[in-house]
Amino acid sequence: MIRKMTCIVCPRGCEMDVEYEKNTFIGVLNNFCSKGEEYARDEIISPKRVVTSTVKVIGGDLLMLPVKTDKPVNKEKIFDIIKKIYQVKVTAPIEINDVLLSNIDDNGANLVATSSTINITK
Amino acid sequence: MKLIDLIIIGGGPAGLAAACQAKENGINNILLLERENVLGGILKQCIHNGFGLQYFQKELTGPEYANEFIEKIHKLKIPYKVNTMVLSIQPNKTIITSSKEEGYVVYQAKSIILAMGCRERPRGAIRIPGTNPSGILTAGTAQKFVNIDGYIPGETCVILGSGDIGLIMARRLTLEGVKVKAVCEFQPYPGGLSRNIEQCLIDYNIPLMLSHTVVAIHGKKRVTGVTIAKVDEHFNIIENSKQEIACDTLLLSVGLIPENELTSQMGIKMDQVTSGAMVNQTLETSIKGVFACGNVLHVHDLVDYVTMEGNRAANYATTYLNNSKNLMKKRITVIADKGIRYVMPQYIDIGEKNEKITIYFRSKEIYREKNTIVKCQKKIISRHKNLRLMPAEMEKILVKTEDISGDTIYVGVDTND
Ligand SMILES: Cc1cc2nc3c(=O)[nH]c(=O)nc-3n(C[C@H](O)[C@H](O)[C@H](O)COP(=O)(O)OP(=O)(O)OC[C@H]3O[C@@H](n4cnc5c(N)ncnc54)[C@H](O)[C@@H]3O)c2cc1C
Ligand code: SF4
Repeated sequence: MIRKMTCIVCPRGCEMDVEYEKNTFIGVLNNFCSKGEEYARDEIISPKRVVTSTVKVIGGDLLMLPVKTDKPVNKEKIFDIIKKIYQVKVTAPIEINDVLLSNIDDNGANLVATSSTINITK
Repeated sequence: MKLIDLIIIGGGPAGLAAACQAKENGINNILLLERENVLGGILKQCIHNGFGLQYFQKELTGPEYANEFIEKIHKLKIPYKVNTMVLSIQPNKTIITSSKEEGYVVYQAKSIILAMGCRERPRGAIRIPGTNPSGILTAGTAQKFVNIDGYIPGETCVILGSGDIGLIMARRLTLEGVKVKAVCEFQPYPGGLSRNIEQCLIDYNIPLMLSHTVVAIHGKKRVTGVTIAKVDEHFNIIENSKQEIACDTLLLSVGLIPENELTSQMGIKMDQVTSGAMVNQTLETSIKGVFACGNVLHVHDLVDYVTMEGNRAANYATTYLNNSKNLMKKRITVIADKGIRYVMPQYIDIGEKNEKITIYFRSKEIYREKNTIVKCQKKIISRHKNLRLMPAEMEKILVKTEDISGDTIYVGVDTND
């Protein structure tokens, strides 16, 4: 089968033609670079996304700390991961890239801070 | 009054890039002014990823992207002031500011880079009939509520307009447990990038209703629902297509407008289509030594391009300050012709040296497999094949100054082939 697919890796957003059979990737056309092929293969076999959100901060100059998974996670797991993120509360100070929750998807992705926040209560 | 070589107004990605680049070019007497309490501009609230692929070749979130530059500002020891609002600029480059700490301070600049960004079109700009209950807000305001203040604005939501911020918020609200019932777009094509349609709407089964608009808002105190309808190709509402959707929140994502009160008040010539200043290929406005970059000049779809424009503005300001300008011999007007909504720069100043000039443009509608051409005196001087031209995506084409004759060039879509 051939399916139209928009590559989301970069803003160029190539409109690719992807050939596949059930869960088997066969080939791709109209991708500008090799990242498109990688994305198309993943999309057929097991689609992945980086999840971004915010968590509450205690004592920080930010009320909410922006966070992300440091690797793309399986698409079906997004809502489970969001539920786990919801439980997280951190205390300032936090540095950018600090790991807040390790192995959040049971597949090696960690939840990390995407901003720093200083403690304003001290 | 303090005399400063280069004053940069706005501490978003455009201003941050310009400040770093100018310092690296050897301009030491710089000052960056920002009205908010921190640097970073709108990026602080854009917590999603997808920034930086073009500029840093890695994928970053908005706050991470801003952080790269804020760290550089500190490392290069570039002087900046936050909580400082520029109130007005005089044509002779006197800048009047006010801040909590210092009150009213006046600076005299030798050159200025305008980098004030843009803001969203409010409801008034689109005129939807009906009541005026609470629960109507722009997508950017909702983004700030959720990502900065940690406050979820409703439970069920309809989004009018398919600009990128609206699409990003459709996903963000869905993840926060809000039911996003539909994204309605007046035009027959989406306003945002294809990748955002894919990863924000399709991933979450949120319906995108093209050629649809909100015709009425219901509710007295709080929004209780909206009536949406289909529009025909002349944008007339098709009466029997009306349907009511219950919701407590309506988000508007109907476009951005450059924040140019300061610019027009100082007498700079403005472009009616971009709502930004008219500039030449050195990003210089109609006042010598005043440059513009980023969203205040024209709305960009990617922050990476904003950064690159900030760098360029700094390079041209440096040239201006060092008096090493390519002396102008002739001014050429660049016109947006068939199928093109706008061009930037609006002028090309031909100097003694030949130059290759990049003209940025947006198309009026979607074209596939068409050539963009640049013509002067009926001769084609540049041609570029585009697989796909979309109003949501900025494109560019190159021209060589030695090929230009006459005093006007036209950028258009070649609809013949
Ligand atoms: C609400 C909103 C959300 C957005 N979300 C996204 C997104 O998710 N993804 C994306 O790619 N792009 C997004 N954009 C587009 C984004 O604006 C640009 O990519 C980029 O941030 C533009 O950079 P800039 O430096 O030109 O402007 P900005 O980031 O807007 O920075 C301008 C700065 O100038 C300051 N300023 C303005 N006037 C004055 C004054 N008089 N005195 C002192 N300081 C002043 C402002 O406070 C601000 O910090 C968004 C835009 C808006 C408005
Ligand atoms: S295929 Fe390459 S160029 Fe095209 S959208 Fe994907 S990453 Fe970008």
